[in-house]
Amino acid sequence: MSFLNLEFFVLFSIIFLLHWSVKRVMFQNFLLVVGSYLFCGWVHPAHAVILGVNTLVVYLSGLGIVRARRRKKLWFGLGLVLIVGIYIFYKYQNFFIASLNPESAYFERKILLPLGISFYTLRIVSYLVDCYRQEKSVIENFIDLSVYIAFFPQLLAGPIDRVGKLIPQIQKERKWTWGNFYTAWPLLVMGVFKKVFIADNIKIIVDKTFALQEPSKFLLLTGAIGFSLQILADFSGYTDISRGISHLLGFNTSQNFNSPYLSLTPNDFWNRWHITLSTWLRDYVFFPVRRFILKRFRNLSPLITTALPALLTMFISGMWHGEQLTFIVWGLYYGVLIVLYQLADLKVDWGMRGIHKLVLAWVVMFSFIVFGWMIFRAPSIDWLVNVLVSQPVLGSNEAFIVGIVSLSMTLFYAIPLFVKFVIDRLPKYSQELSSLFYAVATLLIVVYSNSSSPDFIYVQF
Amino acid sequence: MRQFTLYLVFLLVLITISWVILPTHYESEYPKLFWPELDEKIKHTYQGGINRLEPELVLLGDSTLVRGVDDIQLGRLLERPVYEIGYRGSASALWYLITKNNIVSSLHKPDYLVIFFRGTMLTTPDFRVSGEYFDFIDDYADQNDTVLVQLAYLNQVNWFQLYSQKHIPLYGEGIEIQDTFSRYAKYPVFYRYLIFDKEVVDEAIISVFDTKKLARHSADAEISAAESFLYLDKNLYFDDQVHQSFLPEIIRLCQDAGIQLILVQMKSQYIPRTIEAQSLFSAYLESLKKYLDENHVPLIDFSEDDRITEDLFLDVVHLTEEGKGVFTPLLADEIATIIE
Repeated sequence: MSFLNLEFFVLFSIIFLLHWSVKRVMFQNFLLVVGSYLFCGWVHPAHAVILGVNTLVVYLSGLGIVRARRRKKLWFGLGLVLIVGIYIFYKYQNFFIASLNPESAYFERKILLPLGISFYTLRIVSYLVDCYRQEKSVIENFIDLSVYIAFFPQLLAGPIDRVGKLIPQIQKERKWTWGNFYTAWPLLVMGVFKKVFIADNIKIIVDKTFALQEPSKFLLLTGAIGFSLQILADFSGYTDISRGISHLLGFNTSQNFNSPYLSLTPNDFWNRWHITLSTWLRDYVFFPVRRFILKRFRNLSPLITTALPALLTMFISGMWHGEQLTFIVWGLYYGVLIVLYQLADLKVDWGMRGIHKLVLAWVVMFSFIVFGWMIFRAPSIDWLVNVLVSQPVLGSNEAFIVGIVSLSMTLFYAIPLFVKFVIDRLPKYSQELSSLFYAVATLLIVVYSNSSSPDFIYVQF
Repeated sequence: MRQFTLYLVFLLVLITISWVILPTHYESEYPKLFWPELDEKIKHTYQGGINRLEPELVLLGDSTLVRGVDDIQLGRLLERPVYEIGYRGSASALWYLITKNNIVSSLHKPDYLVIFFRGTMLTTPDFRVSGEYFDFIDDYADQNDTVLVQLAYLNQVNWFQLYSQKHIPLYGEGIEIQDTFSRYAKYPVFYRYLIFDKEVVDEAIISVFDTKKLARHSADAEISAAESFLYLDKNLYFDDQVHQSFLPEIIRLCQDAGIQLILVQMKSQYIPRTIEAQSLFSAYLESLKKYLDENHVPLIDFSEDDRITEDLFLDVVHLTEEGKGVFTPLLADEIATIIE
């Protein structure tokens, strides 16, 4: 089920009305659990069962950690192994099938990746680790924990909110205020608009470019620039819708994007792109690994103590996105960039030393970002290497023309984002301009409501 | 609250303006009749061929027929004249139209009409009827073909979409507005700064994105994405679909004209994505076979035939030349048992 389906609209409408009809938070949370499991299991009921199994495992593990303190490590370890094991089984089954049987058919009968597993697994792991570190983090109310893990506005593609952010809101009494609506509606309009007008339109030429056997380098570059727009619009659009729906239910959830293409360094980028994933990786991979290395290997060179945690963290980030080599290389690519910038002592402020340096810093970083998306979107590393090494720069006249068309389309469909950016940053914020923007966006949503593909990019993870 | 109020005011004003401007700009009257814009011309290309060659068997299908069957060899093996109508991008809607407006309407009536299909093509009336396929439909459709319009178009929209199409210009002219934006996105650079015109741009796009230039896995992925439509849950319930499809009409047209219909299920490398879809499809096939038995339509099923191996496939659905050479005699043997 997608946010842009009629079925979702009906389901959400029912949940929304019932949620605000009941007075007690216990019943509200129960409704959210029911709604979330319906959402998860709508197409494949088994997905809801897997979600339930994961929730039960982590609930019992959490209780075990608190109540059987002598066996705290055992409960933690068992819970972690089971949760991560289930995740690895579903996520990387193709990798295992191919490894065990290299001649397996091109299309294998396969078990579909359970809906949202990549996202709720991270929430579960963070909860379990927090329980282990601080026993007071344990949630003894099964319904509350179920809401946190299965919260349907965030199930498909995040944001990956932590226990500390969501649980107080889950446990607190929620009353309807019109403020919920006034916060939600611009997010909903903007989210749907980004999806149906920007992402779905630029996707057409991006998909065609990356489907070619041997595009020219120029065509590949313009396709990558188009994909940069597509993935931003698609993913941030999804997040906007998720946050809007959460607000309608009385929840204030985390922002996940903060003008990522204005980044001046790789660290800056990861502080602006998929923010909740970055902070998760920082808190549950980077810092623990770094602490471990500093504690156990005091004599290692600073280069290694700097590089290893960053490389490992970004490697895991790549793996999390999928088992294809392109995602892993993309992750490692950012790991290397982070290390290089750290070694060169290039922090965010290096761009602030004059306008020329600012422009240079931005151009360099934006180029790195586009190249990163080139790796991410490529059908395979072999394909990418072949294009970069063997294909001509401009190619035929026709390829050059199509590259220009691709750039033209990207610039055209990026215009609304530029306009919104400017409106939001005017010296004196204009409600009139902002409202006019949303009104035009709404009209365009109506116009394009016939032709949208309802599947968001990040859902495939 | 003020911002939302302003938003509503602007929305109302813009919708009102659009209600006036759009019908004028696109020369439409509202309420608009939701009816595909079919022209009055019908192509009779195949009718001419049938009358000229007087075949006993007519083969009808899409590109899998063109690439999968050697009609000359088939005719030789069956010792009967064979005429092939392999229309790339066709599906049940176009097969219905060609049957109605070219085959049964020809002076010479073939003894057999053999239709080649895959998956749920026979009972998915909205497969390949819109977008680039609309022109194919228009070529062979009568302007007032209510069966076509009802099954392929009207049945595919819900009451809300139908109402919006009829009464709301923003929605009713949606496709035209999208085309306008698409043109602005694709062409503006050329008008002002470069010497290329629109025709050159369009030709470049067609040339660069020719299917022959796609990577194998991309071509397969594209074909699979299209094929997956046939295996959507909504299309896998035979009893729900059959009476909303062109299959009963095709059977009736053939029976009325005294032509024996034979259906051939082609083998495909596409496998439904989930175990649930696979089991639903198995049930679908059982129901299809039962329905065809009841209507005296023989079905030749190659979908599980082990003699057509993976290496004979060019991509997910099309056979290689070698595959064609292997498949045609197999087909001849099966057809021979029916017609003799």
